[in-house]
Amino acid sequence: MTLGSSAVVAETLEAGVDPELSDAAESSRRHGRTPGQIAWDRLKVDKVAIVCAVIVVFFILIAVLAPLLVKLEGETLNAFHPELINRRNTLPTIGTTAQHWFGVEPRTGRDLFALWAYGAQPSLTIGFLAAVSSTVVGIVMGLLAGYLGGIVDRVISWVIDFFLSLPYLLFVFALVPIVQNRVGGGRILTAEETSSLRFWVLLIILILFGWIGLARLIRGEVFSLREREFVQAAKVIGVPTRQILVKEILPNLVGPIIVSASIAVPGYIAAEATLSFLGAGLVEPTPSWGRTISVASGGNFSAYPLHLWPPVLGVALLVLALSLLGESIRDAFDPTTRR
Amino acid sequence: MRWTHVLAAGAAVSIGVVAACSAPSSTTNGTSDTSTGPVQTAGASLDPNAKGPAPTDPKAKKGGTLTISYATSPSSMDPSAQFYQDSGAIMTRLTMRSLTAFVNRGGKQVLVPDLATDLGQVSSDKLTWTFKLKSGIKYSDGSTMKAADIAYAVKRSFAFTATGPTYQVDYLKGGDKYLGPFKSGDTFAGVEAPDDSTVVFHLAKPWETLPYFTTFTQVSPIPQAKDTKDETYGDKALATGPYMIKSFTQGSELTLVKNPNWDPATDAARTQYLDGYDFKFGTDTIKTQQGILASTGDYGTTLDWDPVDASFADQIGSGGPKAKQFVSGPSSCTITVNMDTRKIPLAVRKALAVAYPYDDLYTASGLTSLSGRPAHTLIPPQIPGWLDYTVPGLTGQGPGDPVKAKAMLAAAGYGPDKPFEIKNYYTNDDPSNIAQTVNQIRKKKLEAAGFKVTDKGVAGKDRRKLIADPNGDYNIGQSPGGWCFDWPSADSIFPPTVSSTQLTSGGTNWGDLQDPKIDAELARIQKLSIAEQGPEWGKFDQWLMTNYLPVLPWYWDRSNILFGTKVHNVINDDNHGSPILDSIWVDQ
Repeated sequence: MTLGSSAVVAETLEAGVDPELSDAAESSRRHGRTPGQIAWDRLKVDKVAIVCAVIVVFFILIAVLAPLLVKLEGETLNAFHPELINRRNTLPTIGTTAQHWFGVEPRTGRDLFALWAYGAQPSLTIGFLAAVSSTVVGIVMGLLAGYLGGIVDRVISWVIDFFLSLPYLLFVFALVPIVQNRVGGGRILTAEETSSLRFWVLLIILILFGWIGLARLIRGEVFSLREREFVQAAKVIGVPTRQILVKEILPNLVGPIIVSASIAVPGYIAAEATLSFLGAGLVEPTPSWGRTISVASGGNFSAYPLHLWPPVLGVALLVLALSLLGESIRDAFDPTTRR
Repeated sequence: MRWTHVLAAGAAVSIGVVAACSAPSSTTNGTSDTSTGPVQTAGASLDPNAKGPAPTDPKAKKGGTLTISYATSPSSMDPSAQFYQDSGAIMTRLTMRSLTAFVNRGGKQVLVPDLATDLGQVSSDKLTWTFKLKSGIKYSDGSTMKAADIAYAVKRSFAFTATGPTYQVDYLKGGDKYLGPFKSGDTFAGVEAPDDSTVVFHLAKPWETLPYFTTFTQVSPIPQAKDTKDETYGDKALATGPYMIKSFTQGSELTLVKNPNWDPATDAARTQYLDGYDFKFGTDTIKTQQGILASTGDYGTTLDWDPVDASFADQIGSGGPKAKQFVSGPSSCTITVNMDTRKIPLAVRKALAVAYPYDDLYTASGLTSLSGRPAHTLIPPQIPGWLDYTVPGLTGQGPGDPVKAKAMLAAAGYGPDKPFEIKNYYTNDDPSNIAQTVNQIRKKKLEAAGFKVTDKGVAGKDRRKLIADPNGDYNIGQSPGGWCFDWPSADSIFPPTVSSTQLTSGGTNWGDLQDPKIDAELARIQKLSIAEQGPEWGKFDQWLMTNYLPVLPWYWDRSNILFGTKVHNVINDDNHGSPILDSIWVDQ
């Protein structure tokens, strides 16, 4: 399949066309649209996709505007308010107030809205950053393996199989302290150093395990694409390999890549929350929804449910919205899978 | 005695706690949550003439089984190796008799003779103690106890000093070189049994509080012929108390049944109401406490003495709907914040004491008013001779005063351009996140007072080792994070926590002190009689805190005992922070 400027040509032609010609223009435009444009048109009328997109944008805004919102509330992140704690049972003496929109944390009196709003930042950052990075790695590895074949393919396939055979959770639990120790140079770190280091360690580990699926997919696609006439033709006329990969093959993979990336984002967000919940993820003082859920689901849940609900709803809504959006994108690219 | 509490959600982890002790005497019988009430003190009570049988509760019903649930688990039931609150309470109250014992009389703990006929006779040079034994005492297998069995048990305890107490090593003649009968043979100058009814202790230095030590299970008789020479002896240890072991599965369960050969007429300290006890170890605290509060099914006859989860505090506090199912009282522990006097000058220690956010850290640790009382002295109030003094600013409570602390630091020559650096280790893998948040609060508050804080995150299992190293890279928070007395005399608090022997033997102590003046003062007081020692220790406490300030008193730990609606006569033992197990009876 070739891609080209035909769509653009069609658009420019349309500008000053005779109405009688509109039918022809229409058909030529439809004919000339890219798969991306077709998908976009389908997506625009998908109600689920739009609702989900709104939710995702909402959370992105929360994350970006967290400092402003918290300032508006009159609070700062990680400011402790022991004076708001009942010393008898360590529960907060207040619920939601104008000063503390989601109340305060039991035992410490930290503002829960600040924890929640700032907690969206690492979730989304890790989600998107890991998705982009693992997609890039996956594309490169898949293209190389699929197109070059031979020894390169065998090595990459072996690495893929190797990573698939590792027990993911167990491996992450073992790896986090090791990587942290290595990167930290064996020093004993302070809370702040550990916290920022953990962020990157988590990102690296998610990327390490994240590229495999896409690489396999792309490798398979490339196997069939490289035998197609336009690729053969390009080869024959002496187009350099890199150019064949980037200009001829890659554009045909845009669909699966976007689909894969959009489905990966909620996966990474859920993984970050899971690992933080289990204690292998983000640590104090970086806020994290997963960690807050872990702390809040203890004995105090029935007495102070405000602690638990915001992060639970945050993770659940965000992951659900991103997942449905991913599904919609996949449907848009490949309507035959639509149920 | 070693603290076995798993404090609500890992507070123990964050505090660092506590190897130490406990023992007899006096005080408030905390039967309710008297959070603001005055603390009573009482003198050490000794009753050398007490005779069995022990008085019984006229309302008590006989029979039934009590289930006792505990989050931790004793590593063995060996009487020589044990030095913990949980196994100690089980053995001293139920299965193992010693030369002396404590009995609860109207809320006061009184020391009475147990296997011995009196509280021991000391020679005029104070270096020989002689105990005469009661006749006709039998083991649970029907064989007769002999004085040689007690002498053997004392020797055997030298083989288990890694987990057990070490007082016998310090005080008994030749104790510093003796390694127990398995390595050093049966010849030991420190203890002998000249005939079947006499036990004689030979001391290296005067030991006024020896009759307190003889309540320990390390002095409970063990027939040499039955010894397995390791801790598995405890699995089927011969009992002398009202109950004996039916089965013991390490880590999960201990079942006790009545000992048919126990004669109440010989025992002034114990009663036998129940048919048996069923101890469950390693249980889920919150689930058990929920069950007990509801008292459905077997939970009606269940008792739990883990710290009560904060979420139940309102139900069991005074006036709460379940207040009758809860008993609280002092334990033997003073929890403290330790400083290294070698690295922090006195003026800075004083500023730290002013800046320290006691209250904030207390609640952040998940501690409630049920968990403890603010402490302002190192000796807890239930010890005879306790001196109720206050070093200005040291009350164990309050949010800390950063402004005043800053001024004090400035006066000591530290300012924004040259801040004083505080270094501490904290646990960074506490699953409840408590140790981490506690660390954040401490750091923020101390930084607000002008300190520079370097907090060093390590895994909980590594931290215990790091803070016990005298050369560790810290200047606050080294071990011990507190101390639990072994008997109600401060000679089971001060020499173990401030004498220079800890440093010279490669350990740490309060303040990492190594000061000849303190050592001389300790030696002087130890030479006095029990009665004279009391007030002297009180003065020593004040002198130490005023002149050295090695440690900040934080709170006096309290025991929490929660039980089902069918459980009766639950009394806290103020010297051990545990329920007096044999006095409990149940409805069936």
